[in-house]
Order: sequence, then C-alpha cells, then structure tokens
Amino acid sequence: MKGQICAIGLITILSLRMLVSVCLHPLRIGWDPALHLQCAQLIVGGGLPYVDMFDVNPPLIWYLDTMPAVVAAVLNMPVTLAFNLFMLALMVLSAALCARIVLSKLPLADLIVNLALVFGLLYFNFFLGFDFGQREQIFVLLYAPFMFLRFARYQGAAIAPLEALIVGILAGIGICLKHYFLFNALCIELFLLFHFRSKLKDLVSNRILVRENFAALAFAIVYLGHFLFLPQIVKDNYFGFLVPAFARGYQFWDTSLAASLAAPDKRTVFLLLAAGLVLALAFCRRYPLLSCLAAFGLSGVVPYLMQFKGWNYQDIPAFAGAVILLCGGLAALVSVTIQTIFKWRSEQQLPALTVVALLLTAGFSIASASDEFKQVSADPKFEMARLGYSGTSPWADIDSPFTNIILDNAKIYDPIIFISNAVAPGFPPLTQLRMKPGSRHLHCCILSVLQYIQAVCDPGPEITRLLSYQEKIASQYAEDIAKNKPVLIFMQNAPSAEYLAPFAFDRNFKDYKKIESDIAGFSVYKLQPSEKVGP
Amino acid sequence: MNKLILFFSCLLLLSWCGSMGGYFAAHQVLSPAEPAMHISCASMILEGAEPYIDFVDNATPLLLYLFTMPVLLSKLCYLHPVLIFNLLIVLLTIGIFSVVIFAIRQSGRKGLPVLFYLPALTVSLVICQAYFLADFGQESMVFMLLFLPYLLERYLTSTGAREPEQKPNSTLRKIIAGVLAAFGLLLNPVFLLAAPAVELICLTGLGDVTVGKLKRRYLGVELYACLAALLFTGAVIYFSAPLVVVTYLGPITSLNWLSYDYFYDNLGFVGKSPDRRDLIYAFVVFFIMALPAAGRCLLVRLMCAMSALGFIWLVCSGTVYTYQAFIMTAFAICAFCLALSRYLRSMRFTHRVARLLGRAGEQAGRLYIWQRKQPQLKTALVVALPVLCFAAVNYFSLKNVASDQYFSLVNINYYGFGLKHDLSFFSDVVEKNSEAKDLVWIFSQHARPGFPLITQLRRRPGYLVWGFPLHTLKILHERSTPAQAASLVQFEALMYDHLRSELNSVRPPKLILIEDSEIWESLKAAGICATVQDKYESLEPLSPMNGEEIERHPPFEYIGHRVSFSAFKLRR
Repeated sequence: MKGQICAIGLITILSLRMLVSVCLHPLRIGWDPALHLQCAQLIVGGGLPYVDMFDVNPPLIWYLDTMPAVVAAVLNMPVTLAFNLFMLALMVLSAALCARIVLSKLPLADLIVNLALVFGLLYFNFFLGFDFGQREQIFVLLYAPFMFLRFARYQGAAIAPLEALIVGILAGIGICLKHYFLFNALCIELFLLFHFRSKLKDLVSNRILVRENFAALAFAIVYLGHFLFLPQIVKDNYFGFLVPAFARGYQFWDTSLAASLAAPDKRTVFLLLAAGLVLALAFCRRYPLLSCLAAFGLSGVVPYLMQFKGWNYQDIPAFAGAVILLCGGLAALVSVTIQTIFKWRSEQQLPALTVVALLLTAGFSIASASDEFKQVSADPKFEMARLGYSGTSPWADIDSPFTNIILDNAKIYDPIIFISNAVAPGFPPLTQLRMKPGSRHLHCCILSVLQYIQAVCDPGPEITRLLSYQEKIASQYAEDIAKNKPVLIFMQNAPSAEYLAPFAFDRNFKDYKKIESDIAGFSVYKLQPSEKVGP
Repeated sequence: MNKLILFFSCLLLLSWCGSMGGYFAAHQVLSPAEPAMHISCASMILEGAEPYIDFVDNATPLLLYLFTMPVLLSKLCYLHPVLIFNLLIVLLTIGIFSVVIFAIRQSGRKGLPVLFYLPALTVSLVICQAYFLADFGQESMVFMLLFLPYLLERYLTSTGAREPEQKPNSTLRKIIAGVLAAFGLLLNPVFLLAAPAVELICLTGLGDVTVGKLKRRYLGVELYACLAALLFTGAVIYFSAPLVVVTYLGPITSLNWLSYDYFYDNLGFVGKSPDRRDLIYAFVVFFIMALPAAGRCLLVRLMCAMSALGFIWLVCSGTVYTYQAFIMTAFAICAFCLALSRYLRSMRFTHRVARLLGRAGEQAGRLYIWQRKQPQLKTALVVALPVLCFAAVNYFSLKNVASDQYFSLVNINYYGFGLKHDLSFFSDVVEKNSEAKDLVWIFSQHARPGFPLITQLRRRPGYLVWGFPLHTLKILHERSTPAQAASLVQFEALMYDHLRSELNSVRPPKLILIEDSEIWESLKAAGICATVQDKYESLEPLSPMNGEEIERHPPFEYIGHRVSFSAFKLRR
C-alpha cells in the first residue's frame, strides 16, 4: 500500500510537472519529431508515404504520430501541443506499467530501489530539450515495461495474459521504430538468459515461448507484413530507391569516434553511464534489476556508435539508462546506509523514504515549475491567434532566422518549400507555424546521399540506376512548384543549390522574386502576388 | 587436479612471456610513442634535470621517476633503454602473476574458487597483451598489471578467503599488492578514480555491514598498504622535489584540464581520430555477458567496474587512441573470461556431454598422477617451453628480415641491433642531420612522430619534449576566461623564454621539425620561427603522408590533419 502511494505520488508529481512544461510551451518541438508529425498529418489527410512525402525513415513513427495529429485536428489545438501531450501520456503509461510490475511481481525487499528506477524512467525525459519526442525516447518508454516484465518472468512471477499482451505489443512497437533497437532487446534477453540459468526445457517453455514475446513478435510480423499490402508505388519508392540509396550513402553524415564520444556536448552521457555502471555493480548483488538496467544502458552505446553521426538524440537509450541507473544506485546507497546505521529493513524504511521522496520531488517540481513560469512570463510571446489557436507561446520556441519571413509572407496552410540537405531548418517551423509542405520532398537529404554514392561507390548498373534519381528529384521539385505554387521557397545556397544547378533549376523560379539572398545560408524566393493561390 | 590447473596456467604465461621476450629481443628499438617519450624524460632526470622545470611533459612525476629504472639499467649494461623497458614489463608480468599465484596458494581451501579463475585470468592477460602488442608498455598496461594483484587481494579479503593463520609471507604479499596498486594509481590522475570505485564495491559486497565484519573482511593489510604507499610516495616526491610537485599541480594540471575542457575541434570530421568502435563493441558485449556473473562474484564485479572506469578514461582522453581503450577492453576481457569459467562450471550438461567430460576428467586425472611421478619433466617443461618460445619467436621475427634492414646500435653507444622498419617516421632525416645525444626538436600536436624516434636514435628532446602545450595555449587565448588565461601567462612566457635560450645556447638543436599547423602558428607568433629561419638552413618539407615513409615504417595512429612538417638544419 505504501509502495502504491509512493509510486502513484511520484508518477503524478512528475507528470504534472511535465504537463506544466508542455502547456507553457505549446509550440515547442524538435526537428525530427516535427518532420514525423508533418508526415502523420499528411497521412491523416490521405497522403501516401514515400509518394506524397519523401523521407527515409520507416513509417511506423508516422502511423504512431497520426494519433496526436487526429486529436489536434479534432480539437483545433496546435499539433505540437497534442504531440507533447501524447508523449506525456506515453510517459505515464510506461511508468504506470513499470510501477505495477515492480509492486506486484518483484520482491518487496527491492521496492525502494525499483521505485527509484521508475522515477528515473520519468526523470530522464526532463533533460531532453529539443530531442523530446525522438524515436529513441519513445523506444525507451515503450520497451521499459517489457524489460521489467521479462525480468519478473525470469524470476518466476505469475503474469496475467492481458498484461503480457499489452506490454508485449508496446515493446514490439518500440523495437520496430528503428531496427537498431533490436540490439538493445537482444542484449537484455542475453543478460536474462545468463542471469537466470535454468533447464533448457523450462527455459524454452516458461521463459522464451511466452505471451509477451509472442505479442512483440506478432506486432513485428504485422508491421513487416503491412508493407506487402502497400500500393506498388510506395514499395518501389521505399524499397527500390530510398532504402538502397541510404544503405549506400548514409555515411555522408558520419563523424569520427572522438567527436561521437569525447566532444564536450557528448561525453557527459557516457561519463554518467560509466558512473551509473559502477553504482549498479556495487549494488547488483542485492538488487539484481540494476544489472539488467546496466545492460540496457550499455547496450544503447552500440547503436549510437553504429549510426556514427554523433547526433545527441541517438544516445537517448544510453542516457536514459544512465539516469535510471544513477537514480536506482543512489536509492540503493541511501537504503543500504540507513539499513547499516539504523538497522531498519527495507519495509521499515519505505514510509519514511516515501514521505521524503514525495516531499523532495514535489518541492523541486514546484520550484522548477515556478522558475519556468517566471521565465516564460518574462520572455517575448507569440500570439497563437495568428495560427488559428488561442493562447500564447514563448517566441523562443519558434524563433529561427526564417520565422518572421514565414509569418510576414504566408498564411496558415500556405504551401512552403525548404530545399535543404537536412531536416532542419525546414522543420520545425513548417509544423509549428501550421504551413503545408509545398513539395513531396520535405527535405533533400537524399541528394547528399546520392552525391556521396557518386563520389565513393564504384560505378555499376545499380549505382547508375540510383544516380538517375537525381534528375527525377529535380523534376519532381519542378512539378510540385508548378502544381502547388508555394508562396515561399527557401533554397539552401550550398550544397543543395549546387546539387540542383545541373538541372537548370533556376527555371522554376520564374514566377518568384528573390527577397533574400543569404539568410542563414538560404536564398528566399517569394511567389509574385498575381500568381499566389488562395487558402 | 588443482596443481594441474596451476601448472598449466604457469606454463601458458611463462611461454607467453618467453615469446614476448623473443619478440622484443628481435625488435630492440620497437616502442609506442609515449613510453619512449617517458624514457627520454627519464634520461634527462638522470642527468640532473627536474621535470616540468627543465623540461615540459604532462605525465605524473611518479611515472617519470619510475621510467628512470630502465634508463639506469641501460646505463649499466649498455643495452638500448627501449629493450630494457620492454623486458622489464615482461618481467613485471611474470612478477605480478607470481603474486597472484602466491595469493591463491596461500589462501588455502577458501581460495580454491580463485584457482578455477586462474586459467581465465591467465588467458585474458595473454589475450590483452597479444592484442595490444603495438601498445606494449603504455601506462594503461602498466596500471593494469600493477592493480591486478590488489583486486585479487581485495576479493580474497572481502570474501573471507583469508589464510587460516596469518603467515608473515602472506602479509608481505598483501603489502606488495597494496604498494603496487598505489604506484598504479599514481601513474595518471584519472586512475585514482579506481580506488573509491573498488572500495565501494568491496564494501557493498559485504552485505550487512558490522564493525566485526568490517575488521575481518574489509580492512585488509593491502588496503592499509595501498593508502600508506599513496601517502608515503606523495610525501617523498613532495619533500624531495617540492617545486616539481607544485609545478605539476599548477600549470601542468591546468594545461591537462584545459586540454580536456577544450576539445580539439578538428576531430569532428570523419577519419580524424582512430576508429576503434570495434573495441567499444567488444567492451559492451563482454561487459553484458559478464554482468550476470557479476551479481554472484565479487571478482567479476571488480573487473567490470575497472572496465567501466577504463571507459571513463577513454572518453576523457578526447583523442581515443587505441591504447586509451586498453583498460576498458582488458578488464572487460578479464571479466568475461572469469564469467565464462563460472558459466562453464555451473553448466548442467546432458548425459552424453557429462560422460564425455567425465572421461576427459579421468584422462586429466591420469595425466595428473603421471606428472606427479615426473617432477623433473615438469621442471624441464617450465624451463624449456618458455625458452623454446623465446627462440622460436625470435627466429621467426628475424627470419624474413633482409640484411640491409639491420643497423648496429654501436653508433649510439649501445650493444645490440635495431631493425630499420621499427624506427619511426622521418628516421632518415634525423639520422642524416644529427648524431647521438644531439638536441633535436620535433614539435607536433601529439607525441608521434617525435617519439619514439628521438629515443630510438638516442637524440635528446629539448625543453619542450613535445608540442602539447602549444595547441592548448593557443585555444586558451581564443576561448578562455580571463582567469584561466591569467593562470598560465607566466608559464607561457617562461616556456617561450626557454625555447629562445635553447636556440641561442652553445649547443642549439641540430635539427628542427615543426608541424605546419597550429604548432607552427604558435611558435611563429612567439617569434621562435623567425629565429629558426634565421639561424637554420631550410630542408625539404616532410610529410607523414609520404608513401615511402608509410611503407618503410610501422603505421601509427595520428589524429587531426595529416599535415607536413617544416624541417631545418643548423647552419655550420
């Protein structure tokens, strides 16, 4: 009962704290989540993935994002706000499921540390900033209950079929978001196999061939199977072009190991993780779930380095693992110290620690929420009425070199194109400011990929085929500009303009006036008034 | 059977050490850059120079003083200090292994579980040294060797596997383990993190802590010895050379800290730092595989913790050279091998496998009974096999070496020979334009390519042993706070004064190689380059990208841009 109070209290306080933050920043979103959200909106509007929107990412995140997209459309609220609330719901769901497993299926003697792990699962979300909503975060949130459940399963706990089914499906969704996540899941299974050694027959029938695994696998099969039923053009574009092109040219953005691991903005995560590992090792004999989480955090390093881009969000599983481990490790340290000094058993410590934890969490949450409120109140504001919503948003959340140009020259739903070899800076402004993408190419990362292939790969029929898409992409851009008449076109001066120059791309700007020639490396073209289309 | 495990472990390690001895006897001047640089520094110390005052390096004082040992021996027996150093590390490996064996043998029945770990420890030690042979003798390898007996002693103490009665030689063994660990910790400030981590894990490994338990199973002799040795060594160094300690803790530590703080931005581009992701993948997989056993075995936990600290060291290094991944990888391999031995022992085999294993056990038993009757054979094997390995490896190392590849070390006043392929880049220019004991400046961002070349050819580095402060000081001026800049103003002025006085001395550098990068820019800004251009004759620029150089010398890890070097020869 005390454990339940503690769990409910912690989840409620942290969720409310996050709710305050989400509500104070209704338009805040990162570039990748904004892009995925835009894709989801297009799908909700009847668009086809890889036909009406081009991006290399597998479509599961877009399907998932249709939920906030629909809610936003129905309730006329900013889609960014709906998305952030959706993420908050995922946080609550994940933490509630984990807490339920901790309370009902894991030893009560470990309750303090295990609840601290649940606390860590919520707490790491507060540090993500603009990476809030990345697939890595969603994976952590969806996979964590599965990990806890698998641990309980190996310990011999009785698992209800419905519970196993729900947790399994959620984990399946998480793992399918990115193929790299399979490595994390395999590491955890490997750890559990070695940690809880048992007879092969028992292992197979009672630990491996179980409902949550079947559910996760079933989801993966359904997800993979759905590709078979997609229209042929979708399959051609995705499997015939985007996947082979990115498989050969994704290294375009590769960095060095030193930059991935040791740069000042990267190393903190790994130092925290190492500290967490040491703490976990110190207490893993008493609290074995810490070892499992150590395996999870550490396994996050491999996909991050495999991708080799050094992008901060890719280490979120490692960061989450580090924060969770540190929370669990510190709780273990406190609990063991109390036990040593006062000779209180874990059950005796729980009421006092519950009160202290709830008071501290509530106190810090109120203080930080108050600080955030003051800061938001003091900062310049943006009236969301301009976007057809009520309320205000901090200007800082939408601030970019392009915001004013968009606001001054376009109305909501106007088509706009950013021709850029990265997701930013087109996103998040397009999503935040309720604009419509003026082209099926939401960005032109693919052109950098093709340039890389041209420079690095040995010529051959497949390479020639892939490179022939360069012209096709240029003509698709031209087609979209002619058809959609975007009110603004932002053309990246280098390298995107150079990529498109051989295809006489300037011809497409005959109805446009160049209003800026170098704003953050972009030229801005505005549609001449006579040609402007209505809303 | 226990003695059989012991015997084969000893045989494996001795054979490995014999092989290494044979290898280094063939490659008498082969060394990684950093140990060779410390050898040069130690030579200067033996000539009366004071670290950080008469020459600038960023290693800890103890490390530099420890390196005087091979140099001193080299002076006594006229063998190249690099050879002596490599052989000393081989001997250290044997010595450390002996301490481990003594610890196991003297811990009686309670130490029996450790005995089963012995093959795993031996195999992992051999794997680590073999895999990192190109980085043999790096401080990380020395640290691992020095710290290993301490970890084992802490494990034995914490698990209560103490001798039935405290024998004097067991106390001595624990003291040795403690002192060695203290030396290991003082090799690099980051290594000091190992002490609290190990102690926390040992403390929590006790379970419910009571005063009695603390006394019996935590406060071991090795802990006291380690703490005492830490304090004593620190005090001895401080009181014998206070200025050395003050300078190390002052400007040198500031520089080290700033080097950590100010990341070298050029490393952001692909290929600009060694891509050793494979080692990190191995660390992750080994660590995760060892984690289940870590919950049950303190020794595996300690190895895992050391591996995690090795990961910290790699991250903090900023440059991620292969040798900086040694601690992480080596302890991960140890942890994995220990865990594996545990898994194998606890495995539940099927009837058929059990029968096969039973037969193997019978054969092993027969072998054991047979070898007990042949004590001479055991002795002969222990002596002969390492010797055979020594001879075989030595022979095969030199088998395909052309006769023109050899050069005599007599020219530099040592006995023995070297192989031209073992020399570092730019050896031709240095050999041609300078003689033994001449002052040679080779300034670059990193220890390579100045070292091991200067040590191999017995040249002397100047006041600035390598160019590490130049880059940091340049960034300092660009990015630092006024307080940070002020703290190093005096050091910077002093450093450039030293360089100028060295240039204008009676015996100036015979040859100067300066990397055409920020190093050149820094020296130019300080007016050093103008003096050099005035007093020296310009030679053809040298490039580490030169195909011939790459072919003739062992490749080396190099970070940042592979820029060329300006070369200058003293005008006669």
